[in-house]
Amino acid sequence: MPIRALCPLNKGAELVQDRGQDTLPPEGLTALLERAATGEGGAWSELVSIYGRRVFALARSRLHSQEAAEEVTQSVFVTVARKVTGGEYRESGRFEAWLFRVAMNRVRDEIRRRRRSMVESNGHDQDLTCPIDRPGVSDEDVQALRAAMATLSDADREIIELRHHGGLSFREIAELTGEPMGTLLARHHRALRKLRDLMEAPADENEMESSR
Amino acid sequence: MSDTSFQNDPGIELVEQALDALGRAHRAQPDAGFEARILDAVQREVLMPQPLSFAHARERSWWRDRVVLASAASMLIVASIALMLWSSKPSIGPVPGPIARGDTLTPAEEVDELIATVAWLQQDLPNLNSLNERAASIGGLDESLFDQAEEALLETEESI
Repeated sequence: MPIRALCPLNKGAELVQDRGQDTLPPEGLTALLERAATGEGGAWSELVSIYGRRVFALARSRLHSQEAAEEVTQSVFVTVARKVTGGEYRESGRFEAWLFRVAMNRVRDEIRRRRRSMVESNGHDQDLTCPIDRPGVSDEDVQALRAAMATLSDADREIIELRHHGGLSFREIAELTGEPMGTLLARHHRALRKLRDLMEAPADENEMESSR
Repeated sequence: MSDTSFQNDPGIELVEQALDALGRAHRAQPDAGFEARILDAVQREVLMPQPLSFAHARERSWWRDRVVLASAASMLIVASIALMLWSSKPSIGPVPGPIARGDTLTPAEEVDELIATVAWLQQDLPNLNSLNERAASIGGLDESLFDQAEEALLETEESI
């Protein structure tokens, strides 16, 4: 069954496909944000439909908990709605970068809170119920990938998650992190190579890497 | 999603594909009510105004604002002073009523009234000619004359 059939998006706006993500063209997003700033419920419904699952995926990858990821997603949208309706956000074509910066900060806060309360995950996640829909990628590959991602530095892991789970372009990630595009591409490539090496290495070596 | 070339790095493309697949799986995980729950939180927390509770209303009372409170006190003081000044201002013109109207005299009437009053006083004065004659005869006052003059003055005072 196609994954879209399992988890359909509510398309109230003129969406376009960008790198496999549903998104809006710039002029459509500006008009939508103008409506959202007035507190129009329909506009917020569209924003949640477009970005809600992308924010969720970002939080879900790091927090390893569907419940915690949904709580973070709610918190992110409440924060964004307060700032947009309160006039604190001025649209300048960087809404996605700003939205995901809010999301990353909220995820970091949640991780710090968990560390204080000793609820740290070991990176293993058995809670993912949706099937992997990519030919040639097995469930074992995904489990190995998750274990390998847990060994990345926080900075490298954030780039991977923003790019592949949040669906952001490198330009948007550069705006979000403040890093030059060249540096960002190099770090992304280096992180991919490290993941590949870890996934190809025997399991016992990965465990040693994880425990470092 | 791959927009980079990894021809010199075999195996990396597979990693990217696995990452993309994992991202899609994460995005597909929430149930169909996910968006409604997020939107409900936004509406509840931001879009729908909360009714003011009594405690909240007390916190936002105007008298908790020092500037507003000072302005109100100033206005009250000014109003009190204005009221005091207005109430103490003397009335203009004669006091209405029959007595006041009866006492009102023209200047000519006031002169006639004064002449009549002096004439009335002169009628009641005792005749002091005998005292004047006796004083002239002896060239001064003796004790008996003094007593007579005192008695005549006292009678005159009482009659007036």
